[in-house]
Order: sequence, then structure tokens, then C-alpha cells
Amino acid sequence: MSRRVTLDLGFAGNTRDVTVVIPDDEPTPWQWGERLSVVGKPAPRVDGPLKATGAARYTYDIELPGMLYGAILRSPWPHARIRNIDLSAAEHLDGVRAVLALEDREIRFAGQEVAAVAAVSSDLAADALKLIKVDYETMPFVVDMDAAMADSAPRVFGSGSNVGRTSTSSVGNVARGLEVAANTIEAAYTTAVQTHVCLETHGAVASFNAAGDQLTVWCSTQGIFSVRDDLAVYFSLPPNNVRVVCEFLGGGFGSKFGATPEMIVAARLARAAGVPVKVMLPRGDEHRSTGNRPNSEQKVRLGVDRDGKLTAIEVVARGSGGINGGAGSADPFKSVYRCANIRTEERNIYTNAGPASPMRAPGWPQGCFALELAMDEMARKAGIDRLEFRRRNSDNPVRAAEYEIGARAFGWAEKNSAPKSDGAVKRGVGVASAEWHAVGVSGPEAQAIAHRDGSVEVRVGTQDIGTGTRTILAIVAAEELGLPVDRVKSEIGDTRFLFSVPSGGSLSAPSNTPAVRQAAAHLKDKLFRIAAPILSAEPGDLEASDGFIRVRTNPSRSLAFADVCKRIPGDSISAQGERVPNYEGFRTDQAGCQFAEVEVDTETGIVRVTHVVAVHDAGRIIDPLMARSQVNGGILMGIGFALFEDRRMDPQLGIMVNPTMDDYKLPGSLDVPRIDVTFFEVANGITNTGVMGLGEVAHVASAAAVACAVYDAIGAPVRSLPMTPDRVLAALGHA
Amino acid sequence: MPRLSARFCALLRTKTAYYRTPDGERIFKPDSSTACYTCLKTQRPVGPDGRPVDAQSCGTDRGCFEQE
Repeated sequence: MSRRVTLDLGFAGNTRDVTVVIPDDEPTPWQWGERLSVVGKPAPRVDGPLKATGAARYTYDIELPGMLYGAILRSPWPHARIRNIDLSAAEHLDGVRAVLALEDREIRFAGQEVAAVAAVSSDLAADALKLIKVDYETMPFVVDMDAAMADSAPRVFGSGSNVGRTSTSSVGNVARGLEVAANTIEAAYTTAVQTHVCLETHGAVASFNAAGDQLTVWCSTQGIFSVRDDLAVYFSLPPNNVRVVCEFLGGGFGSKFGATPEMIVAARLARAAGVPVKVMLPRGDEHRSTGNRPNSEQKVRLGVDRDGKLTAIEVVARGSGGINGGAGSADPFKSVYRCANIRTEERNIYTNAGPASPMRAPGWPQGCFALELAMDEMARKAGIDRLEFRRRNSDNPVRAAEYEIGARAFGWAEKNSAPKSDGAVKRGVGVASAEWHAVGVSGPEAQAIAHRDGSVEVRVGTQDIGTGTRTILAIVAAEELGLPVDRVKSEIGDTRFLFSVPSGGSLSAPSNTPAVRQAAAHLKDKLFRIAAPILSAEPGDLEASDGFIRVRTNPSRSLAFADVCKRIPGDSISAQGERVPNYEGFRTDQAGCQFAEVEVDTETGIVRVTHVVAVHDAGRIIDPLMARSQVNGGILMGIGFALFEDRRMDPQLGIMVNPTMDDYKLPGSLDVPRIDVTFFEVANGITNTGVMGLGEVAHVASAAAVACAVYDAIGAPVRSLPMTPDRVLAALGHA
Repeated sequence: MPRLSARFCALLRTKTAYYRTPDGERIFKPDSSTACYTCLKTQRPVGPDGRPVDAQSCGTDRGCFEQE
């Protein structure tokens, strides 16, 4: 059965009524402007004390009786065939319990898994790896993207070309758009390979039961059910015979979706040894082998008419995901700005380097950097204020409003017209536009439980990638049940709970919160049925607020929530909820913009970001404190991409030369600028909570805004990321 | 009626395919230029036959194809 509900969607000055059909048992979606008691109020992380005191158990912290320590031998060669592996010496080392040769006979990047051991200590496991004799037949290799495109280049995949298939898109006629343009620009932009640098490296602890038909894995993952299903297939087990646990997760950024190699190695070693095995990757392996954001070279052409309206957008892009694909970067060119003539062309180039994997808004930071810096170059050539140029070419009303909010908060008018300084340190400002799509998916289910002591639990088979999932689920349930947040405990990170989807693509909050709210609503209905006869009312006449269950028309007739729970006939009562498919909403995309201010030392080439203003819409914000934290992280990751991070490969040896936290440069605490975040309230509908994700959109424009600010400061565009001092000085030489 | 995702190898993995449509289909986006793929069997973006894996090429014409 279903019912019709009319929702007031949009934002101040731009609203419309939308009537949606929702299941009968779906809570009525929170309306725009509806007064909520705990949703939308800043609340600290419910698991903050556990993290701050070190009590939170990450995979690394898991210790099981009799557990062994696994280690993986990796190829030092970027391209080779394995003629033979001699494991015997390792097998005979005291304390070694299992040794495996991994199946691949052809190595395609330095760092690929070759063999693995399990021993009674990690030191012994490392010693055992040194005893494994591998007879490699080395082969020609290529790690440079340009070199890989040559006809004579060594082939990464047998006789197949290193140049992957070309993805193209086209609307209108770009040649004509450039022909009629009053101004055109053409420039090439490059970005470097960025690794995920999860603070908790990839790893797992695996344990089979004695019969070998039940597998339990504790692992660092963005998707406990994805890992469960992958392991079930790999080991030919029913999914319900595999349990996956991830209580806490030290970052993933897209690199920890399914069963990754070290999880399977841990499980294979555990099966072979007959005891649990832990495999946690060392930092070097994390950099080399677990994924990265591909590099890019983007040749951009823009045309504008005399009114500053874009007449043509073209990008011809290539990038290398190492032995993987996925190096596209053209998506921002297709949708951020309005233009009748857009053409994109993208190619992935295979090289003998570690494989790409999804990384926070795949393709977008690269594409936004090239697009936005090109927009600034065009604005300068056409003599238009850069913000005004963007206003004229964006038809997104949400972004238009956000430009104004951001410009005021940042002081764009004053800062943009201020002198750059007469000294060596020049000041500049930039702005860039964001976009993402994060409305969530159906699939997750949730359980809400009320106990006789008045406490409430919500259980969901999701995981917290670090964004505060436990906290926002507790807030949503507390809101529905009329309780303070600390009365609700969120239990997540175990496939014994009901199913949820992986945490990625900004999908966690919009996918899980509606299921939790529905479960809490169903639980509330059950509690109302207990309370109604005592209050001499019908269940439908009751409401829950401030820790009480009341008669709506006569609030003085009430029972404390805890007193109602005391009348639970057993120990607890529970209810389930599901995430129903999306209903119609206001928009399915998110806009957003970020403003950056930098100081550039023109004598040293060092860039310092001093201030960032971020304006984002993410539907209903459940917890502004968590949301701001997520935006802060997106910006800092963008600053790393803009100024520091660069996976460097030795073209002669085919190896990564900076696989440490020392040599792979990251932003440190002194690189953190002042950050001001404003959430622009948009009633988006789509689910009963109206929540949208925030992880990606908070990141896509950050590096671009910094690059535009550097251009403003020094008067010359730095067209390659990271904007290292040598590149800044080189650009100054051409200013 | 054959399931839509059955045209892709059961061992093909990519981020979107860990999500499903309301009809229970794994979500593949063969035209995406940013999708990264792996083979569950090899754990790498290369199939047991030594060729790269992706949604456009991991079909029934490959000897290593496994039906979902």
C-alpha cells in the first residue's frame, strides 16, 4: 500500500511542490523548515572518546589466540615472468607455518604479489620472505605515459596496445563554436599520480573454523558485505558462512571496496595453517600496490563570445592508471558550465606501474583543475571578473546562490581587487565550482531495538569510513524516537547485522539514514501500542518527544520513554526498516563552490594556502560538526593534490622512488589554512531524511581553487600539479 | 528473461557493481572513463587469460568468462 505526500522542495526563493508516492509504512519525509530537535544540531562524534583514548579497535589491533603473522613477497621487477619459485627454505624455517606461491606467472608492476608466508611473529615472517627464491625472467617495461604510447614501447599486456580505447562525447559543433568566438584559449594541463595514503594501511585478520567451512575476517574495508560476498565466491562458501567485521576504519578513499589481495592472502594462509592469520601492509606496499588516482594530461580549448558566454569547450585528455584503466578526467567539462558546443576525448594509457583504483570523486579533481584554470585564463584574456565569468556560464540556480554566499563570506570583491603586494610574497585569490551526484541507493536495511532499561540500539551492516556514520545514525534514530542522542547506540561494522552498501561515492548517509529512520519509526509504533492503553489513547494519537510519549492533543497525558520500555514483555522489542527507492526530488546533483587565498613566495616558489571558504549543499545536514569535518578533509586532500603529492617512478628501474610518508609529500598541520564552511540549505526530497552525501563534492574543487589563486598571485598559470616551487619559479619566468 | 548483469563475468569487479539497482542488478557503467576494474580470481585488473579486464571486454567471448 502507498500514499501520496506533497513535499516543499528547493531553497529560499526557489521552491516548488512535488507530490510523491511513498509506501504506507515509510515515515513522512521531513519537510523543509520543519523544526527538528536533534537533527541539524552540532553533536560530537559518539565514538570520539574511543578514538581519542586509543580504545577503538582497528583491524591492526585485532589479536586472536594462536594467531600468526602474514607477509607478502612482492616483485622488485616491473615486468617479468616467473620461471620458478622455490619455497623450501622458507618452509623449513622454524616458526613458519604456511607458505604460498601466488598464482600469477607474469609480473606487470614492481610491487605485485608473488608469494606469502605466515609465521609466529612478523619479524620471522619477514625473514622467511628473504628465503624464498624466485627465478624471474625480466622483460622490457615502460612506466612513463608518453613513452608507453610509442609504437616501439614494451607492451604491458602481451601484444595488445598500451593505448586503451578512446571515450568521446560531443554536443553541438566545437569547431564552429571556436570559429565564432571573440576570444579563444588553448593550453595543456597535467596532474600527477596521487596515492590514497590511508592512515590505516590495507589489512585483514582471517580465521577459519576447524571444519574449514566458516570464515571470519576482520578487515579494513569500505564494504563489509562486498568483502563477504567476494570471499564467499573466492572460497566457494555460502555467503552466510562468511562473517566480516570492521569496527573502525582508518580511511579508504575508494581503495577498499571489495576483497583486496591481502585479505585473500590472509584467508588462504589461515586455511593452510589452520589458525588465524593477520596481514597488515607496510606503508611502502600501501603506496605501490593498493591503488592511486591516475595522472592526466588535458589539452583544453575554450571559446567565448563578446558577452563572456562560452561558445566552445573541448578537452582531449589522457592519463595512466598503471596496469588499470579509469584515467578519464573529462566529466567536469561536460556539465559544470553551460555551453552549446562541448567535445571530450579521453584515453587510458597502460604502463608497468601500480594499478589505479577509485579515489574520492574519480576524475573530477583532475578535470576541475584543468577546466577552472582554463576558465581563469579565458577570463583574464576576455577582461571579465573571474567570478562573474562563472556566473554567466553556470545555469545551476543552487550554484548561483552559493557563489553569492561564498563571495560575501570570503570578501571576494575586496580581495580580488587588492594589490598583490610589492614584496616578494604575492597574495592571490581564486574560486572554483564543484559538482557531484549523491542521492543514495536502495538496499540497506536497519534494525532498531528498545531495551527494558530504556536504551535504544540501531544496528546496520554499514561501516564508518571516518565520516561519523555512527553519530549520524544515532542522531536520526534519536530524532524519530524523541530521545537525546546519548540514549541511542549505533552498532555497525558486522555482517551479522542487516545488509548495507559500501561506504563510497558519497552514498553512506543518503543510503543508510532513511533505513534507520524507518526502523526507528516502526519501533516507535510498537512502543505506542504499549503506551496507548495506559494513556487511554489510540496509538495513532501519540507522539514521542523530549524523552516522553505523549497524547498529541493533550501533552500532559504522557509517559517517560523509559517507563514505556519497562512494560516491554521480554527483554527488548525491535523493528526493521528498509531504504526504499528514491522518490522524485528537487535535483539529483549537488553544486558547491570553494574560494581560496594563497601567498606565493616569488623568491622560493613556495605556495601557502591561507584561507578557504567552502559553500556546499548536501540536502539536509544531520550533524553540522561532522559535515564540516568532512569538508575540512576534502579541502586538505585537495591542497595535497595541488601542492605536494606526486608518486614518482624511476623510468630506468620501473619502481616507485618515494613510497614512504617522508618522501611522498603530504600536507602537515602547518599547511592547514583557515577554513570557513557554509552549508546552503536545499530541501532535496528523494528520501525520508532528504540527506545527500558530502565526501566527494567537498573535494573536487579544492585543488582548482588553489591553482586559480596562485595564477592570480603571480600573473602566470602553473599548469601542472603539484605546484612545487620549481614549477612556480618556472611559471614566474614566463610571467 | 536473462538478467542484465549476467552479460558481465561473475568475477568482474568495479566500484559501482558493489551496488545494485532496485531490481537487484549489479550496476555496471561500460561507458565510464573513470571506472577501475579487477578480476576477483586474479585480484588484479588482468584476467586469467592475461588480458585487461573491463565491462566492455569481460564477456562470453573470453575463455575465462564465468556466468553470474
